[in-house]
Amino acid sequence: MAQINVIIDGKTAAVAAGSFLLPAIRSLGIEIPTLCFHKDLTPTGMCRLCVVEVESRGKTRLVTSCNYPVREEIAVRTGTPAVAKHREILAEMYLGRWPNVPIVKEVAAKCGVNSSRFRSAITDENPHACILCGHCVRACDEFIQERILDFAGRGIKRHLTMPYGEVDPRCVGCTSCAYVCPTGAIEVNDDLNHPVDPQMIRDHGMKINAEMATLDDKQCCMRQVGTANIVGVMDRYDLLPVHNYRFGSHPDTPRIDMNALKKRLTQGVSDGCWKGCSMACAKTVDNFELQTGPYRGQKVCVDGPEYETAAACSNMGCFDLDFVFEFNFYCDTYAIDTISAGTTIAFVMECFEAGVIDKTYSGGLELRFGACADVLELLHRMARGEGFGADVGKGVRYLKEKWAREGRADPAYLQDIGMEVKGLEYSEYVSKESLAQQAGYAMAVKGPQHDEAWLIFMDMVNNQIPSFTDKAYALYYFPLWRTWFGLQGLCKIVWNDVVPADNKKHPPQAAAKIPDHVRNYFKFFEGMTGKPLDEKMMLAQSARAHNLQRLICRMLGKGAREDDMPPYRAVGPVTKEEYESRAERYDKQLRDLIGFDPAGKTTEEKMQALRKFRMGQYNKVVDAAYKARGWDENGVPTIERLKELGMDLPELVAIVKGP
Amino acid sequence: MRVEKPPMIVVNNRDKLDWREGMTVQDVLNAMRFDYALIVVSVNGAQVEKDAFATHPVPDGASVQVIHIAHGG
Ligand code: SF4
Ligand code: SF4
Ligand code: FES
Repeated sequence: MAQINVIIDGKTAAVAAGSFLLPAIRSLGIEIPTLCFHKDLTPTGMCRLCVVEVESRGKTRLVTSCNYPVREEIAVRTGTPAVAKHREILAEMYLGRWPNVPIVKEVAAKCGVNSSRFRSAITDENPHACILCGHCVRACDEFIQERILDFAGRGIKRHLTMPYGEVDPRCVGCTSCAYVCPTGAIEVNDDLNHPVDPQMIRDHGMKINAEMATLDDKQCCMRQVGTANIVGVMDRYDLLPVHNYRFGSHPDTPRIDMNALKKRLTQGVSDGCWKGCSMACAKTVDNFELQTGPYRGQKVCVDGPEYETAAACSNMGCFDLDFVFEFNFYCDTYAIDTISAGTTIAFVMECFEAGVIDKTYSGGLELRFGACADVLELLHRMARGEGFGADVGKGVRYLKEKWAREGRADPAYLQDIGMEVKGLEYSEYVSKESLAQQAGYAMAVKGPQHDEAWLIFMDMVNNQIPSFTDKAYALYYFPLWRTWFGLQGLCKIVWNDVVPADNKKHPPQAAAKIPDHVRNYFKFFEGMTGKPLDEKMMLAQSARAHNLQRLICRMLGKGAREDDMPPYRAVGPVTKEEYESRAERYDKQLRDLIGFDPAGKTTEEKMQALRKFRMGQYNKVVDAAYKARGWDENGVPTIERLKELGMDLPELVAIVKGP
Repeated sequence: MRVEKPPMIVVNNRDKLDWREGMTVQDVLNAMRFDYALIVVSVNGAQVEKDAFATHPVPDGASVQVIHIAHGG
């Protein structure tokens, strides 16, 4: 952004073009009294206390600095007699009307006014009187995207109200208005489920609410499009699953990315997911007319799509928003998970194109990548439990085993391309270039969802966790952290989908944890329970749950090392076409990392060398991560670890020892 | 014999990039195709503000760190 030089009381300040004057003045340490300014809200220029003299092109005039945008070189004078006089009169008027409100007294004193000649019939002696600053009106609108509060009446009759003077049922009681009110005029009188210290929770919650409202437009744009904001990002970093995770990007991605989606989303309002959350990341498409299925022809409201749903569609090669909406709607309606459905169907499509199954086998469906209409028909058959649809509904593991039994393909090939671990389908990220993410997925106790560890950027792009020890620590810390807040029922968005403006004050390794936001969560916990918490205690709490989950996994026969092994597609290129599409990258790795000269070698030879290397690396990471977690080399929690966690109950020890 | 080292910078302690006269932080981001929203950049350990990406020079041999703060997931 262009910088403009502004001379303020003789000192020069460089200001970004279009930004408001007040922060620039204050950044020079010059004090300006304000009543209606709030750092997290759009300035309105209502109280007029912040006036200064601005000289531009030879003309001088008084302006309110809080909402004066700097567009050209100007000279500013903040303490002239005219300015002082103006402020003094205003301050005296405010003090006359609200003589006992602390903030008014304080601001008036800054203007040199300690008493007022303007006492009258409208003088309000209440120290918590409403001073008509408008903070609450703007917070309701700008944070919560509601317009519950507003002013009514004119002149001295002006007052704050809800529509028709009644409590509006749309008010979610989020307390944003009370949080920004400088006088305490708005009282919060519900204490929800009796936390020990509601104020502590509110203070930290409101801080993040304000961050989401003010920073998101510059960061993730989730207020506009929700989690689907990253469809385009993933494509550009070669991480968006395309054609059953074979590739990480596709030329048609712009047809389903954030910009395409923005045009179709109809609701930009508070979504009620959490009362008063200013992110409101759940989005909807209203009046969407369904083209297929039992509700064909009806106009419905589609809840979503989220990133995973959109990426499940790119994984099936279906780059068409109308398809995405319809797929999303019917998955929701049938109670089918969009991720498992998308990943399973993508696998079916690859098998179809490879000739493992054909049209007769699939009940007449032409299941090639991008076959939107056939996918929807399949989805309806899955829901009805009909024929081939019933099989697909059972997921990747079932299909792999069935088709291997029927001799339709080499079981090893089906294993390589069938994206499931522990029987659960992969969520929608390509993990090939991130060793830590490969392990994050395949070692997750609940199966390869990314909720336990999402380490792709940290590992692949930032190279922040280069050694096995670094990766092992990340695979120790992040699953425990994410398990912990999940167990508290706390949302993940307020951890890292908005980042405090000053997060960069932390060194990179620490910055990745977003320390200030982690502290918010600890304060939520303390406010609720009365018990202070730190990182060590949090990790200990979470490790108990995480280890119990691992033991349950073991009870279910899925908690051993072999159950933490990914299908090779999650680690590297399975097919020739896949290798060749990124040959430059893979050849370079062969040369630089393994010392294997790719010149003159066949693709098969190169693939084999790469596979051996990558699986070797994978196993080393698993070893290191097991060690960091206190598990043995087979991935079983050790008895010492259980003791350490106070979990050495006979029942649990018996599970460790095994039958 | 003296071997001239080709002008080069290193990104994230790993990726090598050809250096050229007048190179800025923005040029490095473009070359790496880094266009993520939550990025923190430092050149030889000193942090560069977003506003200055287009003007901040990157000297030959510099170590540039581009940290993507992970959102999503
Ligand atoms: S509690 Fe929230 S929704 Fe209700 S009026 Fe205040 S800001 Fe608006
Ligand atoms: S209620 Fe509070 S925030 Fe709202 S206008 Fe009155 S003083 Fe300002
Ligand atoms: S602070 Fe600028 S007009 Fe109130």
